[in-house]
Amino acid sequence: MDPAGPVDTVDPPAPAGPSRRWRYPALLLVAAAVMALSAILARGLARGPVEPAVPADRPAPKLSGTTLDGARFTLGELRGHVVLVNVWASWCESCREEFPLVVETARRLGPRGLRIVGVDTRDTREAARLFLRESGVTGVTGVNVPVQLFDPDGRLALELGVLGVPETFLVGRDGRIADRVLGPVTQRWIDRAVLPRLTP
Amino acid sequence: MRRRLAVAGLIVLVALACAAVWRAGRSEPALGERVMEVAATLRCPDCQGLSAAESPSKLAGAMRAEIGRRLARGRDPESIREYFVRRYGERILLSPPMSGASAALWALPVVVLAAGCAAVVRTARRERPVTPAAGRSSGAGVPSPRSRAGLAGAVLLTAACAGGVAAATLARPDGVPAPAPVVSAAAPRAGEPPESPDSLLALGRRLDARGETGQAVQVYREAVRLSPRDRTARRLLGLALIRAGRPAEAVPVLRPAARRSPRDPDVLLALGAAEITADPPAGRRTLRRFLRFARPGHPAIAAVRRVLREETA
Repeated sequence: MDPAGPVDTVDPPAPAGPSRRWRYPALLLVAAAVMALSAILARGLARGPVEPAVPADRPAPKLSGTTLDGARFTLGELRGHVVLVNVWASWCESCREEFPLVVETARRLGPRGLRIVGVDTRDTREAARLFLRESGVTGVTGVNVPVQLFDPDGRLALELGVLGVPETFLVGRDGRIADRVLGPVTQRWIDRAVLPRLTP
Repeated sequence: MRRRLAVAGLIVLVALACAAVWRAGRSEPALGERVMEVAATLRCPDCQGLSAAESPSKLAGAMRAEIGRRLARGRDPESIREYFVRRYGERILLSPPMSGASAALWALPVVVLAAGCAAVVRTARRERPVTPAAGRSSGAGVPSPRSRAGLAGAVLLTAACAGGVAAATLARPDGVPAPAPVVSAAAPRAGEPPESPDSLLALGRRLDARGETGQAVQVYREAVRLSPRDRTARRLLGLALIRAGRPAEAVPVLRPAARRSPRDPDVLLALGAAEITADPPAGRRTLRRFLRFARPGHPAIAAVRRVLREETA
């Protein structure tokens, strides 16, 4: 190749002053950067996955829509009441398991001022009616669970910020979401979170 | 001469990079595509690690429908993301906004790239130490090693940027036909789930292509439920079931389609493939029908002949 090549490649003289002068500071800088990075990563590992920050204490969204039997309904009508907003669907097995407790809670705590609003999400009207009938809720809307909002496209569920079905939101008298349950509600949660808010 | 070549190459690279950026920003995609683009930046609320674009879950479907409604109303993607952030918090975003530590993470690759380029330039310079004579001869045709090293660095940097832009441009369409608009009208009719069978089929194909056959089966099933007379939906569901090792379930899905279009070779092929393990005599009959109606160049003819020979042997 280059006739001068062999001469050039034979033992080039050691790099001159400037690069040698900067070698140690550069090494220190790289070491510091690597240490900083590993410290950040180690801290992240030690902390573990952060629990999803579920925004709980916020104003309840202005849910409005039609019920399963076609009536208009807005959540604002129940302002001043303690309201359980229960999101369910006929295709959801845990909803089937949870439903008897919801119906029983409505029957038991309705006289003490608790209102329950169902949101039947991503469902068909026929399947939802069948579900209610099978769950022992009489009639289309039933006497026990007065309002069942029909949410075929999931708009209301998104408005609530639903993370899965079933999910239940507790709306206080002030119209703010006070608590929420991901998954089926339990008697313990009702005793702990709902009971204290009701008139004795 | 060589220097001119290098400069010309550099110009071409920069031009290509600019063209790629311009192309990426130019074409106005269809609504369905835009829905998927926005959905791909949002997390599916009820599954782990999937975006709202690729998840078959009901809530992800609701999100796609809502995104479609909002896009059709003329909202921009940023305001749609904000809508979801107000309800779900920032965890709904697949790539959280740049702030503090995350900004440092975003900057890290750039810093590493720059450091790498600097190292390459330094090495190139050191390999040919600048002789005073070459350093000063600027008018001569021989490029000085210093400028050559700088040029090499610039070329590397441009190549890296061009590669990144090209990758981003090429990565978007993943070889799957763009889904039809998820929402056809601004106001969906009540009592009818808004997700169209076409968008479900597109989603199913995408899942299928990624090897997630189980999820694809669910999505295709939903599409068949929404439009039971759609033979493409039935055929895709049948094929997915066969791939999932459930040919017996595929038979009742495919038979109605074959009854309605008894001369469609693709439906006959899928049904025959399902039947040949579940119900061999019926499978042989269906595959023979396929041979009768398949156009001469159909890619499956040879394989079907082989299967029929083996079955009868």
